[in-house]
Amino acid sequence: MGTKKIYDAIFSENNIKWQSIIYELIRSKKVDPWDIDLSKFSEEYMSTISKLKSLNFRISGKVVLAAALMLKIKTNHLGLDDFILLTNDDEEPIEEFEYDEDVYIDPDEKRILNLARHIRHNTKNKYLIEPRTVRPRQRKVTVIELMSALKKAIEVDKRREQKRVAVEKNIIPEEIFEAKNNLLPEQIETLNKKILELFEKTKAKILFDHLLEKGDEVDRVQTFLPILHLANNGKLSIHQERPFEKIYLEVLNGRD
Amino acid sequence: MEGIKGQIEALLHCRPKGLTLEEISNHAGVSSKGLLKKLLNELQEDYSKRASGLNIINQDSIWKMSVKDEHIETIQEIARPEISKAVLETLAYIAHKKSIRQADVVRIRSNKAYGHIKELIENGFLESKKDGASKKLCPTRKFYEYFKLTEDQPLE
Repeated sequence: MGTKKIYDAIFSENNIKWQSIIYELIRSKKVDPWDIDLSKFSEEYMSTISKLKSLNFRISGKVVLAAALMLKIKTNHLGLDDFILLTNDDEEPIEEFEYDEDVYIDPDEKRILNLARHIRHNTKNKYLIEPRTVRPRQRKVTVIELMSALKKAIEVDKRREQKRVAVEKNIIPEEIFEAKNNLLPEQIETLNKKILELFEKTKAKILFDHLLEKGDEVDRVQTFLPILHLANNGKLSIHQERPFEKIYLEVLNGRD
Repeated sequence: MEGIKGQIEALLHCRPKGLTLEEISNHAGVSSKGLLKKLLNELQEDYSKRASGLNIINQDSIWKMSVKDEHIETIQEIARPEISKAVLETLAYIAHKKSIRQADVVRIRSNKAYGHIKELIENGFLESKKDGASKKLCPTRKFYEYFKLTEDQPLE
């Protein structure tokens, strides 16, 4: 029934565009676009051709285009794109309904394709199993593989343990710097004042090194931690082009 | 009946991860679960009788078509294992310890272990029990059945 309706639409000689008719038939659900028998379609075409006294190329062109559209819609719906690509190994993969900006596409034709895409998208979940013939299968894991994985995991465990022991050996408890205990609100405020004073003088980005007193590792950490707090509160912006290069500070709000 | 059996076989072939009885029923258009179960059992028997390289298995209510254990070695090179190397290492480590805190596994196997553990729990190889603030992980019965091991057998 659907095939007949579409066939009639294509072969009507009046000015109504057949694309609009197909669109309306699909939209009003009078035709199921997934249920068009393409072989019947070509049979009807052949019988019309034999009835015609002279060949009407306009009609044959329309039929080829319509059949191609229907076939493409049906193929996409069945998820057979991969199958087609498998049979055309040497060819470039076919883009799905891509339009070239310069090529004129009939708006109705475009609407049919968009509608087909919309329907396919909304019915996707119904087709959980795609009829693909080639599927990579996975195999069961053997106990030998499990044992070799265990061997590797134990090696990693040992390596990490050795590393941990080596690091712990080098730690001198007296030298552990407890950042939390040392980071008092007053320290943050003192450093903020220092930064603002420097900014008042230079009105430029401040080099982190200019804030250091002793310049050793502990001093660097003790100075940098309050800076992180200030940056987190939106008072500063920290810049460093590359790791281990100079750190610059930018005052964001100016003097409070 | 043979037609439905063929449908079931095709469905199992197309879905390597397997299907539930409900899914088979929906796709084959057969509502009687009893009939489906009977046909699945028959199909299972057919495969075991005809000395095929494949078999039909029912694992945690999932029906699957898989390669028989005796042929795993043959296909080892061409088929990917269903558990990836990194995930298998995490599983082996947990199974070796029998019971271990998730935090300890992550400390040894890095942050990626969170993903491995999630996948292994989802696939039924591990179970997780609350242990204070952390979780305790243990291999499940499925793990022992899958690798044909016994719980008292030390993994080393």
